[in-house]
Amino acid sequence: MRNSRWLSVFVVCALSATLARGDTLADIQARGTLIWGADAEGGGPYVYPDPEQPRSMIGFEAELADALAGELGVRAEFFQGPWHNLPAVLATGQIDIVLNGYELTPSRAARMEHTRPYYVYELALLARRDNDALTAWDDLDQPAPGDRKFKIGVLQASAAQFYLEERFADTVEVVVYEGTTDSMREVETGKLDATLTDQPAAVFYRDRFAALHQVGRPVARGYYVILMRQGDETLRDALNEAIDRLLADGKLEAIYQRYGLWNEAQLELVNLGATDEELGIRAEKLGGWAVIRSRGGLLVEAAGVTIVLACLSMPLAMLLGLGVALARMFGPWPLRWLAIGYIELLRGTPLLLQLYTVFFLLPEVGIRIPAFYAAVAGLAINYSAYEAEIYRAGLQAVPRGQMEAALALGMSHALALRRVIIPQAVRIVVPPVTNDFINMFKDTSICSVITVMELTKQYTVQQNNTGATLELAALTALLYLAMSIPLARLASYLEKRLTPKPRGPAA
Amino acid sequence: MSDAGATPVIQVRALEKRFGEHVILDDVSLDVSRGEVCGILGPSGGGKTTFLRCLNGLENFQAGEILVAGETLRPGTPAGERERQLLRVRRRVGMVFQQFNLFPHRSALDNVIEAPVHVLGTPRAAAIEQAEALLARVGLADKFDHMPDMLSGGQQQRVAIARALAMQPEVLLFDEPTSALDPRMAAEVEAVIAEVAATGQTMVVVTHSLRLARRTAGTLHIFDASRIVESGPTEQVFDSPRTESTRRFLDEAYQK
Repeated sequence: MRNSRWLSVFVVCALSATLARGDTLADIQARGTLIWGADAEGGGPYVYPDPEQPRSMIGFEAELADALAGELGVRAEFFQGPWHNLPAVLATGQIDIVLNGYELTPSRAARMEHTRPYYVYELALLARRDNDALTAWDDLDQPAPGDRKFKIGVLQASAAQFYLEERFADTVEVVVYEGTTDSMREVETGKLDATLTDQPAAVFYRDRFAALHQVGRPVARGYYVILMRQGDETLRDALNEAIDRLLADGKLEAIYQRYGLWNEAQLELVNLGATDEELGIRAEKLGGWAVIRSRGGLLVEAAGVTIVLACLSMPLAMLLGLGVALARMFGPWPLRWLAIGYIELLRGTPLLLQLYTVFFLLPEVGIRIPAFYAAVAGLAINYSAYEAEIYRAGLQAVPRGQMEAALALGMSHALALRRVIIPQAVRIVVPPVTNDFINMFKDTSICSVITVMELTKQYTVQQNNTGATLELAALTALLYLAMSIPLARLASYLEKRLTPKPRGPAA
Repeated sequence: MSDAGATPVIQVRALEKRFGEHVILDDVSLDVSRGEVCGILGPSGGGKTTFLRCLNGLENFQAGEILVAGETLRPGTPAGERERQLLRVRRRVGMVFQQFNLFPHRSALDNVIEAPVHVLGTPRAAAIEQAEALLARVGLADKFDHMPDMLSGGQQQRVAIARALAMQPEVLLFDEPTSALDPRMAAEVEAVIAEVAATGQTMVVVTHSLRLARRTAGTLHIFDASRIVESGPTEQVFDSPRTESTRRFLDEAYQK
């Protein structure tokens, strides 16, 4: 087929562009900086803003980056990126390496070049000290009290996520977060039963989250490696040698000691090799129809979440918006000012911030709602401000004579609104409201920050997990279109229906 | 009725209306008796329409008082009380607008039954029966189900008259009912208004149409520059006007 030929041409071009890129090591030396990508958000002890000078980064990986750059005879330059997207950032060529607690996994080994391990991590399960239902790993083999699943938070796309999904699929509901501390806080407030996190983070945040303790022994020993683009073998070899030297002269140990991270597991480091075989990893690449077959179902499921999210939030937003619009237009002045304040506050601040407030701040004052309902509430409240303004415009667009005619017939203001003005305004507001509904389908993607596994979130998880960006992005886009196109058709149908049809004999 | 002319349905006393510094009505007083058809004529900007809208509270005013449908409207009435008072007045005082103001989302029949059903609580079946009779009376027996935008201007205004009559008002106010219509449609509407006037319906008719005034009104009031400059029986005002400004207005009107 013509289309598929063009697609393959495109893919080949993209691939050869990647392969044809010059020698990254030579670039690094020429420019004098090693640009390393990491995420400083909730990033202790890996990389985080220096409490003394918040503009500069510290952490054991920041020190490691400095030491490695030193070995290469250059300076280290930090690049901030969202953790789960760092491989994608690497692919764009904006950074030279990813150095941020990235575990070696089969799919990463297949898609990227990696160094020898620089740290041996284990996973620590943290629960509240007073949680009697979860005191040992064995407790996870049965359902939680009340015959429900344990809710355990993890960092998105981390080894912890894969470990739980593989080992405890029946008894554990995995909730993914974009920062390490978010899930610790949720355990503290009681929203989660536990969090499974890499040992370094558990050690680092021990004091901040004093109500938590480690359950049982750490598990699932694995390796942190530095990631590079495929083909950067010279850079890989140079970094491997640099790590060897830092290990040999004790500099690496000194860095880890400073952060309390040197433990018996690290004794293994010296003996570890650098290749996949030596590390016991079989590179596994998923792509094409195989990835659609194996991950498509998850994406369709997530699309279902998106639909339910939007279909619950929009009617609420419309109802709430109507109340606000009426309060603003016809209420006594205190109510009117309240309505104006409400609208301006919600239109003037980002949806993201509002969702954070509902989700993370309300529990602090004792109001605890599940992520999904927090998302519904956040979306409904945010959109209600916009709907209110649409209604106001619609109500004002009804000619003044209509209200006068209704009043002159003895109707009260309320009755006139209900019987005469609102039915006419509805017709005017249908197009902008349906437009907002379509927008809401897309805005649901923001809810991923508060752990709701909707379509975009599932896409990023699977994309990160498999590396099959093109296939998964295409499927995700198709799913969004499959939702929005029928909606647009429904909108035009409603518009036609609500416009008065000529009746009686055609004149 | 033998007591026509004796019982005032509307009494306006020293009415004064301003928009800021601009005086719209200045010391206007008049009575409308039961069964009387009161025509209001005068040059544009003379305050006719504003006066009419004061009668059912679509406009407020700064001084004077209006006794209408058993209620006394006066400035300074507390908002809540004024609201309740106006609801009582408007149930008993109907109005027909220059631009018809039919409810565009409802059929002709639904326009007519709307207020009886939802304001008076008339059972729907009875309201429909009455509405069909009224629409037939204004010559629209075949248009019950038509939406307003399918009707001509003259037909719409006739539906509006039926809509107002459906409330069985004590007084019916007309605000330039034929001004937005071409001559043929205006004549249709005029005939309907004349027919309603002939039934003894008390009416106040603000108009530019000398023909409509002559055909319907028993008494005339000429408004000019915010005041009533002449009042009297229709024949007398037309045939032997007593003031210069009435003469000038009539001369100009005839020339059109």
